[in-house]
Amino acid sequence: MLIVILSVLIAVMLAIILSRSLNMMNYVTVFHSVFVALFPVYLLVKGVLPAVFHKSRYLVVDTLGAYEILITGVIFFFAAIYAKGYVACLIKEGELSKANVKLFYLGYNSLLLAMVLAFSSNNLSVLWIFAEITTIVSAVLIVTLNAKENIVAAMKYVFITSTAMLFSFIGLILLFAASKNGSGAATLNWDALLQASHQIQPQLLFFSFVFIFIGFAAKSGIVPFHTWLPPSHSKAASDVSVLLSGSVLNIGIYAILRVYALVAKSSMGHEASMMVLVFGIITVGIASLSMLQKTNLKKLIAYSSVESMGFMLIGIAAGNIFWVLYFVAAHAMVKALLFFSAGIIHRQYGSMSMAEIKGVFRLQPLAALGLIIGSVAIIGTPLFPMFMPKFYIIASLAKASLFSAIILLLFLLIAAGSFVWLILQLVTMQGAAPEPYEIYPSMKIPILALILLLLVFGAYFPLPLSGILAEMVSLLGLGG
Amino acid sequence: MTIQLIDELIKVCMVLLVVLTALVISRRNLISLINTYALHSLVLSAIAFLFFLGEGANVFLYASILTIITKLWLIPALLKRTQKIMKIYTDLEYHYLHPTSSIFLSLFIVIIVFLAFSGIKDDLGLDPFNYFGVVMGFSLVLIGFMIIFSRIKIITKTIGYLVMENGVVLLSFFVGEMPFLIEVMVLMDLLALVAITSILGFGMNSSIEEFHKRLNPFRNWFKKVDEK
Repeated sequence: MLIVILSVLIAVMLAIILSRSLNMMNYVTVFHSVFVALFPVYLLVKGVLPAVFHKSRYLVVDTLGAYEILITGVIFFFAAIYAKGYVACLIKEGELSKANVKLFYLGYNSLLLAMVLAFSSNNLSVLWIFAEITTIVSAVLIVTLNAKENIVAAMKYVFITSTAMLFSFIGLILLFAASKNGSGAATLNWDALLQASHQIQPQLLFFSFVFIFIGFAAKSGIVPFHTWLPPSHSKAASDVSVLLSGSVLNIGIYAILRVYALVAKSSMGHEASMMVLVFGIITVGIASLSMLQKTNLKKLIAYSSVESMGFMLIGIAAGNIFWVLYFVAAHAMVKALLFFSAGIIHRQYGSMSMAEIKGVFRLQPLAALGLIIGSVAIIGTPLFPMFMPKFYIIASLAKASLFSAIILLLFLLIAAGSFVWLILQLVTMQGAAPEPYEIYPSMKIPILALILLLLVFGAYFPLPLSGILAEMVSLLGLGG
Repeated sequence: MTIQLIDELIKVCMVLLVVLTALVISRRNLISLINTYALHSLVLSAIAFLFFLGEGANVFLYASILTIITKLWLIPALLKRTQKIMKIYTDLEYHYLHPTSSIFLSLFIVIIVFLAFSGIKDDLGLDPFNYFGVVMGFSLVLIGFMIIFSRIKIITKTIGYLVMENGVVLLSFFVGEMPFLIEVMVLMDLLALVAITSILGFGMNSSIEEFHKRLNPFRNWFKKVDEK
């Protein structure tokens, strides 16, 4: 199976390198995303999970990995469709030079590949390597636009996350030493560590977790390591923002969840949970307060990603992993919808300033609808997929600490206020506006599809999904 | 060479590392700073080679060769080129900490790390020799972090990152044969190179076109891409 996958991936890269046409590069990218999205579905339907790719067990796709790959594949698929028209717009407006298009698509496909390999990594060192590769490739994607601010944003991203990731590697070194001394089996394979976690000295396990947390928290934009996220996500091209927000951020939370599972059952589990909770609440608080002052649409959405990452940490600390995992998928869909819509707004007004978005319903009705539905969904309104995870995670937190739940609710209300303000701006701001900017149909399709998906998943919670989520919780050993 | 002699030589190298780290902190002249970093890496490479002689594991030999190629030659050469093009000869700008206070803080860091790790050295299975190495490695990481925070110029911050990287590698030598160490080292160097290349492109004349020429090595390989 590994040979088939590698062959497809090499073929994709070669096709991009040899391609002379923009359309060809786009079709190959769409094919690549479909392949990635179908790969976990195939494993799930065939019932071959966990799929072990080598006897070393460095690469193993388990249910959690397959779930994350599926989310990644779907988000990349929508972004690839959107990119067909969007890249043409960027070239037309002189924001992307033709010479950089190939680099853009190579970066795009390399990022997808690195993401899949990161989620397939059973060995934590391998996971660290692929997480770092995603940083490099994401930075390349950010700087492909012809804007000086993008270089500054990308450098900030590389510098902050890489420095923090060095601490993560120290955590891995300590975990490796602890596993050697505790269980006798020196390993960084996650499944082996989970089995041997009770033999590892709890204080040392916690010590390792703290270091690993620092790096991967930076990858997810957790406060105080979040300062790279708003500039990077807001300066990047909108379809790249979708990839960064809906997919790349998930790597950090995914790694934290894996390592948290090792420490949670030890005698230091309570301390780990308290630490994660404190970081989560501070992140939600700082992000919500920052959102209040934002007048730049993409920065508002970017800060909302910081807030969502903090919320996921709170869910982990509250022990409600089931809904955290559902939240990951819902968040990816909503963020994709918001950034796709923001991309059209940027084409229309040439600016992201909310004060300049006037008469949007007349000029770009679909983008306006996307922004309104996305805003309503992200604040956790009932009948949208983020309602249930938000409700159940807050309920779990309230059971553990009512005071923390009240503080969290307060911050979430502030964040909701920012999006309500955005909706009011969109609905009420009228004025002399330019003619409608001609948007390619390929930019509209993902928005329509995502609106439909959000409505379906908001109204209906599929039972098979419930089973998959429960299986992942059991895999992590964090049930009950 | 006997194991005892190798251990003694490693100890000597570690003392050299301490001295060189103090020099990295206090250097204001950029050329001198880059040369000191290169020497720092040479000592790290020597430690890796001594580990190879002592334990016979190939990973240490690869680490030693890789350190020479990237940290002793490639990165310093690129840093010097950046420094020459940007025409910056000294870095006199500091946040909060000046060189003298930085050296005192570094001493404090080493003591704190020594005390912090004393509580877990048995759990990590470290003998006094390896414990000393782990303390030195971790201290280097924190001192590199301090350089990143205390210096303003991005080129000096990059050297801070590289000192941190040397610390991580040193730490891993004393803990055991860390899996994927070479791959991780390559990646860390790659990240440093990305940062330095960006400085080079960004700092040359602040021209975005110039940066994109450097960014896109495929420009000359492929003909113009048609829109259709």
